[in-house]
Amino acid sequence: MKIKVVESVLKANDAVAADNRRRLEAAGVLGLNMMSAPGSGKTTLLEQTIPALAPERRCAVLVGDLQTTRDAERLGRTEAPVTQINTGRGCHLSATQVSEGLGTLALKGLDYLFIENVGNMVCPAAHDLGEHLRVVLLSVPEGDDKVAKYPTLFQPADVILLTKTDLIGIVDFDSAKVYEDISRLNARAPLIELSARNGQGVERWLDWLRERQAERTTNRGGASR
Amino acid sequence: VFEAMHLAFEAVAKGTLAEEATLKLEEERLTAMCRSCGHEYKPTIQDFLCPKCATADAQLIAGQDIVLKSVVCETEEEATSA
Repeated sequence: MKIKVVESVLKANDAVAADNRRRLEAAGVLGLNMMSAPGSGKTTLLEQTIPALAPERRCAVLVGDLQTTRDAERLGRTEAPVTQINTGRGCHLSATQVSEGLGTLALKGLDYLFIENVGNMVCPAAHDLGEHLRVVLLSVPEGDDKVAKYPTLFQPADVILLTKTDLIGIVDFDSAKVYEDISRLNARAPLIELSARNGQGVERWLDWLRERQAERTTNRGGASR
Repeated sequence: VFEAMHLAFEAVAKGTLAEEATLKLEEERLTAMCRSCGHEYKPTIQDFLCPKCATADAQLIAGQDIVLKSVVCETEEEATSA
């Protein structure tokens, strides 16, 4: 006897993700899923981003790591509401973990929710969390071959941040290779070069965030994903 | 990926009704839709340039997921008569 099923294995995650997106939209919050390898500067960039957007724009963070509350402690100093999610052995955040995280935050009055995913260039890309936009970071010391090596992360990105650009010239890194690889994968996402250390390019990232929030407020109701 | 799926299936099926079952996997190619001109095409994972308008602005519409298509079951009599 053959039983037809035809069901997506990720359907359960996607249903929770859609619900997360509805909750964020109902509160007028723009959700951003930040993905990259460990150590590419997600937390450092958020430490600068949150105070720079204040006081006009209010942020909160859900931060995923296998262990420790170190990132939450760092981000808590920005005075933004922060919830640490420990995934144990889990290599990525799931929509269910984000749903529980949303329950710990007062969403009303927030403008941005940054979801700092577990540092990993593979699995986070396959899981919708209910975000509106995908932010992918690549840091200079990781090497200029990473876009070509991890296309599933870069192809659906809404913005790509090349971080630690103050290290160009100190470590071998050919930016032209990154631009070339991205041009074949994703011409839609702007590539913003920045250094959280010397501040170069950070303003362009902040402008991008402000523009996306302004777009959202003008076309409220239309899902952008 | 196929190897990992077979290994995992074997591990979870052990000691269950599905212990003797075989897992049949088929690979579905990626399908993309060009956001610029609307053309549907099969990109490779390294190259998403639209063959029609040469823009790399693709929305993936198939081939990213794992889909459980069907389950074939046999009664004991069916199995022995086969």
